[in-house]
Amino acid sequence: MRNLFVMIFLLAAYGALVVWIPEVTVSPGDVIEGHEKIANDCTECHSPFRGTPAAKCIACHELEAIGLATTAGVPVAAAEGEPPFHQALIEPACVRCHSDHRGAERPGASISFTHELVRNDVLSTCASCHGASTPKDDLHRQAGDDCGSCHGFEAWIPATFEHETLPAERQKACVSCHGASTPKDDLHRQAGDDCGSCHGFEAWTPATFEHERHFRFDRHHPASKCQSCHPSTLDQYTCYGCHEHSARGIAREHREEGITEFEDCVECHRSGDEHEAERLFRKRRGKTARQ
Amino acid sequence: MRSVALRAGALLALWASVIVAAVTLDAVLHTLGLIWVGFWLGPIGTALVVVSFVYSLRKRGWIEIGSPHRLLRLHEALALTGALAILVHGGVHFHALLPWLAVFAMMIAVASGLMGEFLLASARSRLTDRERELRESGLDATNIEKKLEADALMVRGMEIWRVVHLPIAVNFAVLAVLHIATAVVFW
Repeated sequence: MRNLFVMIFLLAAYGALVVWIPEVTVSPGDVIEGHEKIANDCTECHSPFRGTPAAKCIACHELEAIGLATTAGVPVAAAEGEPPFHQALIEPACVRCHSDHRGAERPGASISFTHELVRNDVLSTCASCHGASTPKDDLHRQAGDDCGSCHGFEAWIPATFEHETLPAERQKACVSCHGASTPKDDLHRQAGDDCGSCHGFEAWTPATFEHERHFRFDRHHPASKCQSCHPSTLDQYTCYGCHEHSARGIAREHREEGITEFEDCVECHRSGDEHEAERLFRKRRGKTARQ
Repeated sequence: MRSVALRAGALLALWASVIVAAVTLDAVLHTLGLIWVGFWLGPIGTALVVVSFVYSLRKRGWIEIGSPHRLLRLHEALALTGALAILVHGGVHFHALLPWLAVFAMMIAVASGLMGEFLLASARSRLTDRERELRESGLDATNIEKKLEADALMVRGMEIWRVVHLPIAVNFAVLAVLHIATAVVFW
């Protein structure tokens, strides 16, 4: 019985404090700037047992004016990249993003805009909100207004650009978009504009250039010394860049063997292996004889 | 005497570790952006504390299921876990007074509970030692019982503690109910 009295006494005492100074006992923090006048009147925003209905917010903040004018009717300039969008929301659900009391950390009330709240008809016209901040480069100008085909709602990058959506002639003109980022090393400079002959659309690497299809590297012919065989351009080569191979000596050695066509060395010499060259030569000669 | 000090130290460390664990968990939840988990730990912790009162009902004979000893252990475990969850729910945020009074009252109730645990264990230990001493001195069973009754100061200490612990728990319960009620009304 004594504990029951203690309970009733405490309930009455604490209850009185809650009613007397709710801003101290119940309020989870100061209200935001501009709401000072209603700071001590909880029911101005809260409906008992029903939370904070948007209708209470809209009673002061007209939906049509949010982001465009203050409640006093003074026009506001839209911050860069933050266009007025409240008018395009599926439904007014203010507390999903806004938490008036500073410090209140209610789940889902952290002023974080999400495109899920925007009406479908507005979602497909990105430029209606982001027009000023869309990139003006060649690629994006051609892409038009369909930003969603590459970019997601969460962030501008990563984007999922599909090269296949470009016209065939544009697919081959890699440098028209990637000009600034194409490598400037000797190999790539000489490869010209036809990036697609080695690189795919999905990623820059892995690339598919196979030098071994033409000539296998070895310790006497290292991959690092392009200039020895390709002194001018990579699509042309010479074996005479090395002191061991002189035009006169090579001509003599081949003529001794009865070989008269030896201008295109790699036709038989696919590596530094002499025996392989002999095999390939015999194979070629046999094929020619059969013809 | 040494074992009494050790026991008291261990219980004090347990009380402090609940606070440290709550601060750490709260920091982890904030870092991971999982504040909503902390929100739901409030109702979960409250439910655990409420369930722990099965022991109180059993002790007062309002229900007759379960062994009191086991239910006491359950009461301690659930109340401690619930207190930890509620502390994380409160987080290290100093805003409204009412929830903070509730948290403060809860930690006093937890400390009081641990004090009860300490008094109970100490009383048992002391009575066991005293009984052995009396038996070794050659006293018969009747005289041992008389002496033990006279020496049961710590058991009386438990009686005093019971008188204090309940109002402390009631204080916490009233503040918790008011906090929940105001949160539901001004959602």
